[in-house]
Amino acid sequence: MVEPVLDIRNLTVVFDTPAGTLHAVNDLSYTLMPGETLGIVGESGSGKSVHVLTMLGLLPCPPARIVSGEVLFRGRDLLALSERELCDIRGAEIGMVFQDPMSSLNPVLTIGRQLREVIQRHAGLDHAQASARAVELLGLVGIPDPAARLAQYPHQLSGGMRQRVMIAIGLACDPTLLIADEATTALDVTVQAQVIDLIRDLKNRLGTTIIWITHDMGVVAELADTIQVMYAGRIMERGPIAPVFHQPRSAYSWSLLRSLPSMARHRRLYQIPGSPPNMIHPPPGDPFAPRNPFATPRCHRDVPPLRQVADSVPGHQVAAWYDLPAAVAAHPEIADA
Amino acid sequence: MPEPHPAPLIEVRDLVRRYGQGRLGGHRLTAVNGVSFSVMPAETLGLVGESGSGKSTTGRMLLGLEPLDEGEVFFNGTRISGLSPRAMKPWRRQMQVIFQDPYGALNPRQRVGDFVAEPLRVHKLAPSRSERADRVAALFRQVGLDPAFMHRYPHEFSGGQRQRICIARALALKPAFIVADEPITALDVSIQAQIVNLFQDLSETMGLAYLFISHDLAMIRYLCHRVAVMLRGRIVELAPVETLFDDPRHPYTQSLLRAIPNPDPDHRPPAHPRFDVDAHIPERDMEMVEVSPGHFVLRH
Repeated sequence: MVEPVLDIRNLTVVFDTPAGTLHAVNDLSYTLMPGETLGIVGESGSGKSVHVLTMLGLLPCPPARIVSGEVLFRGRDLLALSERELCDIRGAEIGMVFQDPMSSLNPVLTIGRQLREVIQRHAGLDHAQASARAVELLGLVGIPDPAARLAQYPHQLSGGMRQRVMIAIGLACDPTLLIADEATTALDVTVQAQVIDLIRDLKNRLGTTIIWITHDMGVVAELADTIQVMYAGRIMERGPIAPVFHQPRSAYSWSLLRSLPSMARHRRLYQIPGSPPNMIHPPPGDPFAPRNPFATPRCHRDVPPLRQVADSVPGHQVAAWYDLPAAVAAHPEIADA
Repeated sequence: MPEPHPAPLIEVRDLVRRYGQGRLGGHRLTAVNGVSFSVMPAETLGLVGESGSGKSTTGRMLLGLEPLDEGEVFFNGTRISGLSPRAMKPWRRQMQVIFQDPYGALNPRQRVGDFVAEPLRVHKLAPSRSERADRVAALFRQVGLDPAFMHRYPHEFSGGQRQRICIARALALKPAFIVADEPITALDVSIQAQIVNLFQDLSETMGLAYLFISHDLAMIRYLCHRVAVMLRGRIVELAPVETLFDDPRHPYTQSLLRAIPNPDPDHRPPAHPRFDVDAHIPERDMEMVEVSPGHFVLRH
């Protein structure tokens, strides 16, 4: 029996704000198996970033507050560890890459210093060994002339190169789990394509388990084995990538795919009505119900549990009271709108 | 779609913008280097390229928001570059801009109705307060906002609503042309389609022409009639949108198109071929050559 790398159980996180309690992550549970690449998609307020920051101990509490839950990483509950124990895991067993390399890198330290810091802290190598490893890592992420880069400062590199440095730092200690949060969003498409190639290559060679958080369905389609669609701090749909893209069962995933211009060459883009929910006063039932043209009365009343889709592959789960393929077939005018 | 042989609404010729030629002797960077194109009435021209390729600078030069080191801008056949701000004012009404960050564009302490009414006041188009209120209410309805929101402040709106407010202000003077600089990049995916559909509706109902600056090639393909691709300050390819996507000729365009992430898990591309920008920097003596009707490529 293969143990999951990550097992999140009933995680609930709120923010205490002057306007009231903001429900950021609501009873979130999922597991991640070794070598799996999980693509998490969702919009602002979906909880996709907050839940990873929570498990890494990077969320300032207050204003955040962990109400309940466990995050088992290789069997240990990350939420129960001391800051010191977490420091040993972050950057070593769990690598992280965030969106903005300019604010994640220290502008007054050289690239070499910042890479060596991670390597020496976790791998116990001396200065020379750490430098050699740093050169190796920069080469791995496709930075030309890596030895010369060690002496450079972040401002001397382009945005794409800085993002590669961030990925090199994330991979410095051969992490079991790599978490990337909008890691290619700020990059030009040609550079993004190279980073995607790099990640696919690493995954094939090192078997790294990956959580790739993005709002870009295209990037998920190119990288992930499993897709998890989040909305209002909950999982709306989850499953192997092909069935979710080809026959989504959540109206939210369906709407997101139909609003993509690449999927709608000669028709009007599907327009999701309304705005993302106010998470201080979330809707009582299915959080997407107010924007869902297929919503049933029950959707507005009760929160649907995440359940296996009866007529799909194992692991394809949806949180919905309605049967989406049937609802779409019954209302072609909505699908064509 | 444009008429067979209409006159361009906007025409720019050989725009050049250099930075860093100051007395302190900084590096001289040519951000925009000999850019020429035209936009027809009711046409949407897409402008794509990597960051730093000069797309935004080109849009700003066209509007007179950025000085021209060389080149000319024509509106309906009249040369508007080099005019004094005072002489430029009537033309400014015809040309508006929408930026990426709708929050940064709004004044947090100004009611959004006043923000939308400001151009009407500046151009003395709706002199009385009640006329202005009526006009603003009509603009709010036009962009899909409840006119009752006029008295609220920017922080009370979502990102998509704020972008609608910016669009309402841009429409206040009934322009013929809008420069939209990454107008949906900062918005959530579910909101992007709302704004793009609004752009299309406005194009159909008001005959608006756009310069749509974006790095989102799928959106460019969906929305634009023609596309210009910029690399290091120069246009390297310009073509009708389907021609560009079906038959890209410049190596940079080819690499851009191959890099678009495809939301179809059954068709994962093998590794993307590398594109070495430095090996394809446009050279001084290259020229735009017409390879098929309306399809131009920069080459020797």
